[in-house]
Amino acid sequence: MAPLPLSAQRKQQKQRRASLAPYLWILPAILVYGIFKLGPLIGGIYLALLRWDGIEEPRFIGLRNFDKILNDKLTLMVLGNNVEYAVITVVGKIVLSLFLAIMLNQALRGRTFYRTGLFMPVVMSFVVIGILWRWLFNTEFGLINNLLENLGLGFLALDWLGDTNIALKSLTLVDIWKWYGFHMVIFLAGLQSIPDELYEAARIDGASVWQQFLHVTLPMLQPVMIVNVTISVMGAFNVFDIPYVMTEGGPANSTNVMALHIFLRGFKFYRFGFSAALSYVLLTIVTLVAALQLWLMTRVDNTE
Amino acid sequence: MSNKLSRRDFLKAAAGASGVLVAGAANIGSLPVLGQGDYQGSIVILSASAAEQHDFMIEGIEAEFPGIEVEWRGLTSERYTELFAAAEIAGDQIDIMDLNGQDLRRYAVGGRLKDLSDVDYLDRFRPVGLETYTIGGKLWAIPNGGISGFPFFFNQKALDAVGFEGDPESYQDVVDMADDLKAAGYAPFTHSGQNIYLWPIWQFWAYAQTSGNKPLEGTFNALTGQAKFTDPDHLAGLEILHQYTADGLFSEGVNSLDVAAAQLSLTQGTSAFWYHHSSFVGTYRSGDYPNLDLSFVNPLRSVEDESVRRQLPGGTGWATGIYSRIAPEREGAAHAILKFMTSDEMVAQRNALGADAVSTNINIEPSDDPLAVRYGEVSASEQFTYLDWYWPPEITRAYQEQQQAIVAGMASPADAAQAIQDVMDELFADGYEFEV
Repeated sequence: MAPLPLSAQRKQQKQRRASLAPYLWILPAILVYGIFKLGPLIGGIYLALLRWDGIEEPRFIGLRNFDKILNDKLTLMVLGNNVEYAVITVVGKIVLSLFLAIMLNQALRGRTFYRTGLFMPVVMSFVVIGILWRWLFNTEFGLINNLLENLGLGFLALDWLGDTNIALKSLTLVDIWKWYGFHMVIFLAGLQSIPDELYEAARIDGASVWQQFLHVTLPMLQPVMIVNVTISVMGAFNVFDIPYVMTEGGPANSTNVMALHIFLRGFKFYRFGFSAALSYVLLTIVTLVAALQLWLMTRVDNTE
Repeated sequence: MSNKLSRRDFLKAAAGASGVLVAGAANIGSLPVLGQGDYQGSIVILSASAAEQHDFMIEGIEAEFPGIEVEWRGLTSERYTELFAAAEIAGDQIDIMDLNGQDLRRYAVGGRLKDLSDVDYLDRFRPVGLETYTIGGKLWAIPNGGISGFPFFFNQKALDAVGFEGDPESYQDVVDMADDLKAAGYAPFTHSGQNIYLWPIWQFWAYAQTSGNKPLEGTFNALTGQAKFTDPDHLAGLEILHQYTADGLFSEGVNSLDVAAAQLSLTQGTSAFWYHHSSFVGTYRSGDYPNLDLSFVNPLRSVEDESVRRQLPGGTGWATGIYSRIAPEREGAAHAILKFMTSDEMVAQRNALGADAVSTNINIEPSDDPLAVRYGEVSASEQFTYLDWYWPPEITRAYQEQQQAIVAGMASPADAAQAIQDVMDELFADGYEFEV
């Protein structure tokens, strides 16, 4: 076979280099992801099959840790707390952030100032927020109860973090406050990408503001809605910082959630194997919930 | 003859060499306590307390042992276990372990500490400290710091406001003054009910009374399976908490108060009593609290039998020991440094740091603060070791959860005791064994 002319060879080399380039660009990210995410994720499977307290020699016990989880009443209770937490925070964050995004998408004086101000809690540290709100909720010296009492609404003053029926809801309030700004910014980006012509056409057809919202804004926001809901659902199932700082899971486990449960089993009770097994249960749940939710939302999107 | 070494020969040679090395190492390990010897280099102290607080000790060691450089790694009490495990797995140098007393058992039973029973300076310590750190007849750590515990602090101003004279002694005394205290703007009791350790500590003093002043024996029996946490003496301890709650003695939101919030309630004059650690005396002396005139008593008698002593739980300082897998060339130096760290000179400074009322060392005079002197006279002799220094952590957490449930009205004492025993039974099923 006759050799390719020089120009063709060069072209081929160039093509090869070009096809390799994307892989080289993503290589650092893949390496970091592999070392710090995939590696522990795979290595942790073995840990979940062990009984190990960090001191004695690890003992292989097969699937016994998973078997124990299935029969553990506390894990079920904690999962229930996560579900409640997820429902309240997802609805709260989405509704509030969408409302604020729509408000701040109007031609409003001082709009940038409001946007910045409302975004502030997102950049604050979880620990700072936890301590701040713990004091706000303090029954005796807290701002909330004192304010309510001074406004003549003393009957609304509650034991926000000490009452087992209220404590989890109080934490969801803090979570919503911390994150609504983040979701608001994503909604704002989505709103700004909706062409004005669609609203003009709707108005010509006689659509009211509410009808414009329902039939133009919401459908057009579907892609960012999927992003926002997915992030907040996963955040709700992985929440750790707020319960840890504010209540340590109490009183009587009423604010205990899976990530805190995993931490306590691992680093307070030294059940590293059991704790690893719990982590895989949480990973599976989060993956399934996220997949189901994506499927449902994409289906709705396609139907429309 | 071929010079090639077969795989089998190589394995034999390697096994032989390893045997010689192991035998040599074992021989070195059994040497009597050495002086610093020729060792020059770093000594690593894994401590539950921060390095910044121990500059005096680091500088003291380095001055006393020229050529030694101290690396004090303050792992914090809460994260000691995880960071110790990480250091050990990573093969980090570990020489001396300066533990929170509650972790001693774990490391002693787990074979991570050297037996210190034969060191020649034990006469410098109060016996209670040595007894506390002895497990299975062997001494695993040297008590290092202050003897301290949990009395019932109260605000003398609150008691004056309701005309109560003398020191309160019994539960009935508080019940009798409760309405007057509330009318004067004081909740009878505040407590850091959110903290994982502080409801269990409430159970310790209560159980000391309901067990007829045999809290350790009763605890050992429950942990070895000879008794249960549902037995009448344990249950009665939880019933005392239930009674305090039912009589409305705790401040509002007590389950959600951390230490800072409960302390604020006492110092601002909105609660009359606070059950807390004796180190609060130091905080009180260094602050300005116009609404507080601090005093304390041993826990109030809360059982009918007047012959029962009002004991209080406490600890005997840091537990400082030698890592069992220390490199042989550093062992002599580590022993010499341990002796120096627990000397009167060093411990006195540690006592000053913690505002300790009583020292682990016999020859160190306690503070001359009147409250500290009083602790030494009235409370130290009634002190018994915190029960969670023996409990597995699951039981501490189970008590905390169940006591919160009692206070919240979610569980009766009997239900709570059963839930705690269920946790214990699960531990037994998992192979848990307790060594006295």
